[in-house]
Formats: sequence, structure tokens, C-alpha cells
Amino acid sequence: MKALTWEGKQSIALKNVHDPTILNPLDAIVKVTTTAICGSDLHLYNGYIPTMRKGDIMGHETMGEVVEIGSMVKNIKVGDKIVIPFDIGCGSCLHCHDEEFSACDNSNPNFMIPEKLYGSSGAGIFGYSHMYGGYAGGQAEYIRVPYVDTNSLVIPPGIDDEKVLFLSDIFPTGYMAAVNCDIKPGDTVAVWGCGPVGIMSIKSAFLIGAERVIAIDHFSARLKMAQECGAEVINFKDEEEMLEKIKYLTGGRGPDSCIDAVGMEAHGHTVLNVIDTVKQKVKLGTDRPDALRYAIQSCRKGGTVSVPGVYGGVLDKFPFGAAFAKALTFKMGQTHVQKYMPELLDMVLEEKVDLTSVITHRLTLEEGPSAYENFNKEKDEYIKVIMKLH
Amino acid sequence: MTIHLENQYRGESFKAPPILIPEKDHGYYHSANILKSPQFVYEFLQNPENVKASLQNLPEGIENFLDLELMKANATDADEYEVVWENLEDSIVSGAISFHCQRAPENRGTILLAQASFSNFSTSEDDPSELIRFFIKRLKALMETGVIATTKGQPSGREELNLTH
Repeated sequence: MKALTWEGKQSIALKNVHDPTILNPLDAIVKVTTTAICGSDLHLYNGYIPTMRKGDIMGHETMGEVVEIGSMVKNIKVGDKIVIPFDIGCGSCLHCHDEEFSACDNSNPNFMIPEKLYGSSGAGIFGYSHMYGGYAGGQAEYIRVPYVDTNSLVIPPGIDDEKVLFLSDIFPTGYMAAVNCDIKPGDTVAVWGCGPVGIMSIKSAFLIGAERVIAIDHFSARLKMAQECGAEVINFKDEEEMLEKIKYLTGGRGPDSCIDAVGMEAHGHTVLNVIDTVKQKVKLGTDRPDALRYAIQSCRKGGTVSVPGVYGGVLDKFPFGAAFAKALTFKMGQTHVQKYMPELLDMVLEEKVDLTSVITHRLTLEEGPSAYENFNKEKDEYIKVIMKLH
Repeated sequence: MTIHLENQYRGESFKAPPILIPEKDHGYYHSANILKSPQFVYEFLQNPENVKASLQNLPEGIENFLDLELMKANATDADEYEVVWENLEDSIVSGAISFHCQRAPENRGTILLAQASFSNFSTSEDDPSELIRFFIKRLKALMETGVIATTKGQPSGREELNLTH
């Protein structure tokens, strides 16, 4: 089969590789019909997530048709059209039982790596480094799905892939980020980063009941998209005193909650961000947390900072004193996608939300390598790339 | 291998006894929270097939020095069980692993406490702790899911095919 593989920093290739096979009796093989490139794939592309190996198959936003199942699979059958969550839950440990699927105890065969780095291991993730299990991803013609009874959402017949593909990651991720904000009537939510997860966070904040959303970015096309979702927008390149502006817009209090949908590769013109960039380039630092710093500084006293953006290492100049002084609550983590999928599918089917508006490019797998390059360089033009197969 | 899986166990609300840290010189110790009843864990640990299955296909760099035979299995108290496996007499490395199963706090299954004591390692670089940790983690996975997560045999670009299409 054809697959997009990671060949090194800023190098993605289209390769012919073996078809996947059932390796465990709880597996299924899925013929991929549509897959997407996630903003967090760019962290891999740019070499910021450790433990990638040359030849790893990329991709964690995937859907398709089940073509084979293992002998212990109970709920999924051949022919089912499924959306595959990016995180892999076993469905049987205490965490999965409590719907904390991304904290699964059993799905990461390389659990020793995160145990050493982070103290304990979370779930495996498709196409997201050997630290997260080394699972082959979905930017390929076929994918093996472990524990498929847990890691699948069956889609009713006749639904266009584009309407539901983003249930695999960005919609549940934006939704969990908003849920984590504990939004109450009248609340204002600020969202840093208007990429796909940021846009889904904005949509979700409104769905949950936020009165206002303030969106911050520096790409005009992304800000326009945020505006079309109903957000008030701030281009931080035009605002020397961004914190003052956010305070002014919130009656001097600051937003009730702040979402960092940027993560480890923040852009910006602050001195700290310049230092972060240099340190990251010479491998003296792991993350550029400028958006998170702003979120902490902006948030109202007693508010919540919710972090769906991906971080990988140790954060420098992290204003923990401000967070403490303002009694902030932090919520974060890889999304428990399986927990939210069913209710979010209902919202899509009831047309309460349209997820297709973020799609800017519909490409083929063959165009994948150039799509990565363009997505990385042209973030104003490339917001969400999907690739159609089969 | 066929493993009978009961429904995931949450039990009833329960105040668990404290877990005591063994003496430093007692060897290696690990524990795991398993979402099964102590009775299930106790029975599972006595089956040589399960022990064997959990030690197959270990990752590169983890040397298997375990060649175990069941020495002891008994119920020490209501919902508390003990199982001891010892390396065979002719093994290069000598020692034993003892398992103690007790109900987890509230309704969270079983706490499996494992204490291992081994000697006669061939080199000072051998890390018995790594193997024991893998052993416990895999026993837990087998008990909870019936399988051990793996990626061995999956496709990658490291084995590129010379196909024309």
C-alpha cells in the first residue's frame, strides 16, 4: 500500500509499504477513505517530538471502512464505516472505565519511554512517535486499529466523510478544551491560536454557552475564520499591548477562561519568545510556550487555563507565580476522544455544528509530501488539509 | 492461548489496608492496579500459560532471565492472596517473585504487589527491575484485555517495497 512516512526533520515521503495485518485478536484492518494532516503533525515534521524513527507512517485523523476483524472483536463488523479516535484506549483498564481514554494503562507497548520522561505512560497514539507507542498512522491506504471495539465510532450510511472526519481529533479536542473551562452563562473565553483546534474550541465554547469569545492569532485568514464563527479577534502583531486590550475588552477583569490552542511552537515578537526560539533551535529548550504565558497573564483571578495545545518537554520562564497569585485552575492533556465522540456525532447529524468550514485543501495522498511543506510554510493559506483515498 | 475474561470488576466500596514499602535490601518491588477481582488475579497468576505469555516478544535490550515454576499459592485472608513463583533450580539466575493481591481502595479492582529477589546476574549491566516491570505490566494487560499491545509486524517505510504502483 501507499503511505506517507517520516524520513527526518521536514522530510515526508510517499512510500510503498506492506499492508497491515491483524496482530492481536482485538484488532481490525480499515481501508482508509479520508485522512487529514493535523497541526500537531507539524511538531513531528519540524522534529520537536522525540523518538520518531525514519520510516514511521504518519497520521492520526483517519476514517474508513472495516475490511477485516480479529477473533475477539465483538461490536464492530466488516463493512462498518468508522471514525478512528487518535488516542488508543484498551477499553478495559481503570482509566478507560472512567472515560479517561488518553490515559489508558495498556495500549502503549513502549510505556517505558514516557515512564522515564513523564513518570507514567498515557495511551498509545496513531502515528505520533515511539514514545506514544510507535503505532503506524492513518495517512496510508490501510490502517490497523487495535482494540477496535473501543477505538471506533460507527457512522450511519450516507454521511459524507468531510462532515464527520474531525470527530477523530480536532472537534473533540476543541470541545474538551471548552468543557475544561467550566463555562457558565455570561462567561468570556479567550482562545490563543485560530488553527483548526482553536476554531473548534471557539465553536465549542459557544455551543456550551459562552457569551463571548476573544480569538488571538497573527494570520489574517485564520482570524477571519474565527470572526466567521462569532469571535471577536485580536491580531497580536498589530497590538503592542495585547494584555491591556484583552483587559479592556473584559471590563478590567480578564477572560473567565483562556484556551491555549497553540502549544509548543508559538510565534510572537516578545523577548521571551525570541529566547525560546533560539533555545529550541540549538536544542537547549524543548517548547516555545509564549501563548501559555499570555493565557496565564490575561486570565481573570480564579479563572481557568485550558491547554489543548501540545507540549513535549520542560517549559522555561513559566509564570507560575502569576498563576498561584491569581488562584488559577489548569486543565490540559491529550483528549479523551472516545468519551466525546457519540454526543458530538449527534450534534453533527442534527446540524448544530458544521465542521467542514475549516477545510481549505482537498488533496490526494500523492500530494501529501508537498502538503506538509506548504502547510508548514503557508499557515495563512493552509488551515486544514484533508486527503481523500479509495 | 485462551484467557477467560470476566466482566470488568469494580466491586463495592471498600477501605483498603495501607501498602507498606518493603525494606531496601528486599530486592525489587513493583505494583499494579488491575481492574479485576482479587480472586480472578489469584487464579490467573497460578496459570503457567499466562506467565509464559507475558514474557514473550520482549523488546530489544530486555533480557529474560525468568524460567519460573509455581511454588506456592494460598489465600491469606478474605480477598487477600499470595502466589510465589521461583526460578527453576538449573537457571543461571536464582531467585523468586512473590505476588500479593488485595482489594484496591473504594471500588477500583485489585492492587497487585510484586516483590522479586534475584541473584547471580551475568553482568553488572543487567537490570532486573526493567524485566520485572515489564512482567507486571504485561500480566496486568493480559488480565484486563486478554492481549498485549504490540506493533511488531506492522508496516513502515523502513521496509519499503519496490512496487511499480
